[in-house]
Amino acid sequence: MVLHGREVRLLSLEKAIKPLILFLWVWAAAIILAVAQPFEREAAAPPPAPPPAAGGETVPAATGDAARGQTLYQDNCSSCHGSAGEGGVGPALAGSGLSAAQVRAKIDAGGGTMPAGLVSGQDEDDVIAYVDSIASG
Amino acid sequence: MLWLADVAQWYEDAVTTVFSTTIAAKAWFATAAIVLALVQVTTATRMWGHIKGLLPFGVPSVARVHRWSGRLAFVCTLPVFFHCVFILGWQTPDARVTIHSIAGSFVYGVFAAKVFIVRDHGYPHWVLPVVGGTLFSVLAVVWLTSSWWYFTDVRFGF
Repeated sequence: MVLHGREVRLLSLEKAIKPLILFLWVWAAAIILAVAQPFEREAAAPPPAPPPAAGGETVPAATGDAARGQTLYQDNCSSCHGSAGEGGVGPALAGSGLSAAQVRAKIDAGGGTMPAGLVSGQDEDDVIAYVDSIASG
Repeated sequence: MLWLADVAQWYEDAVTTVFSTTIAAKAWFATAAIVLALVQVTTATRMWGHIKGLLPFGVPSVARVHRWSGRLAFVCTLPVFFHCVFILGWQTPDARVTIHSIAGSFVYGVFAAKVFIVRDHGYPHWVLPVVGGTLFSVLAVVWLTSSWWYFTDVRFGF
């Protein structure tokens, strides 16, 4: 075939088929491995409860907007903890009994595969309020 | 697959001696791979007779840089592959992660096809640049949907 005055060889089906089959084999292997996820990590235990505050102060409850927190949770947390906090790659949050302080400590410090500071400021307060609502549910 | 869980734990312990989390390690290894992939594209362009002004070196030297940058890029993708496939697995919770999962699954397939074509000299002249460009594009999508997101939306740091 001539293209812009230059002779261009076309790729024959016979030559195309080998790399294509190779690609499909490796692609299929990658998909199977990723979907099967050959091992399940043990569900991480909830972080230890923080020590009681001096002078008998109580740990403040979540003060954010849980409804807004749910939206933020879906954007930032659901890929690992499940869309309803049922767990997945990360531990289950629904019904976990985690306190707001424990959730905040984990968000701030991260750990394992979870990066520190995924949400902060008011967003963090809102996510904590939402997680608090499902953790005690 | 208990041994694999042990390997994952060892991997997590090893990378967190340098990086804050395994996600941060993944973002930086992927960044090293995409930088080396850029070196690959640049040196390949020179080997194909272009950008002589930008890289005024002989083709044998450029070819050596091309081969070694490719090997290093491949090595950099291995921890990313391990993290993505064995720790995170296939996920589709939103558009970014779905695109990342799909593009990520293509990487080694396109890489294998490219290496096959490099070693078989019977292909038309245009095939290798097309396959090499495809590999770079796939890597770029993978990097943009992971490392770029991490550096801009989460944190820029180790």
